Amino acid sequence: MTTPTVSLRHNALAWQVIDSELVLLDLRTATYFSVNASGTVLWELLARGTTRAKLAEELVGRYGLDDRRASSDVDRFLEALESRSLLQQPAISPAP
Amino acid sequence: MTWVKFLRLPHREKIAVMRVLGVVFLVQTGLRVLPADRLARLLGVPLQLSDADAAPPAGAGVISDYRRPELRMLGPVLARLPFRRRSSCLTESLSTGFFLRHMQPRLRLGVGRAGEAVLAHAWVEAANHSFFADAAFRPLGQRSNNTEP
Repeated sequence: MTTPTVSLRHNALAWQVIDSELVLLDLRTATYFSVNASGTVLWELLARGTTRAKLAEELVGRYGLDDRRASSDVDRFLEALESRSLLQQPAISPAP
Repeated sequence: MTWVKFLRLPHREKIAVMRVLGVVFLVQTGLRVLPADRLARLLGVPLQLSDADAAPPAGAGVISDYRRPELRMLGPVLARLPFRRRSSCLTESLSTGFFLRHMQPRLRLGVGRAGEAVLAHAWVEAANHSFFADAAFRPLGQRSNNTEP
């Protein structure tokens, strides 16, 4: 079974990083969002397309989180993006 | 611009003021009903999101078309509008781009920080020149500056 890829909705999204904080503009809704430093790390992976596991690995490697905490943070971040229709496809449900 | 000043303008500049008012009205109405990128495309000033890391071109505004009366009148007209929109830079950029549309202008949106606040700004690039660009604002794109290749 292949692991589904998650990626950003590239259509009508634009962003820039300022002082490690990402500022995002959703042109469909004319809404600006800001993303903190750890979210920016995840965002950059999502911009290229990645898997939920790789996102969690990145948080573990970069911030020294344990696997469970990292997975939980990734889930919350993806849910936040999904609720704002910023993802290309629905985020993957966490493994049971 | 007061009525007296308007009436003293040469005929060509009066026409320019009327054209500017029409375009500004069109832009401001358009911004209320359409997404900015769609309006920009319709006005012939498409939003540029690629090459986001590129610095705005230097030498702002010294092109012959900048002397067109519509472009000279735009600032004074916008300054005297009774109900200025908060996104006046967007109105100004779209209107300028519209008057320069034969030069394939591109709209840029950027963000910058002022203390804790994040501010947005719009400007236009055409024929290797920038109009209203501000070095304090970095252009929005679809690639982050600190993204590793």
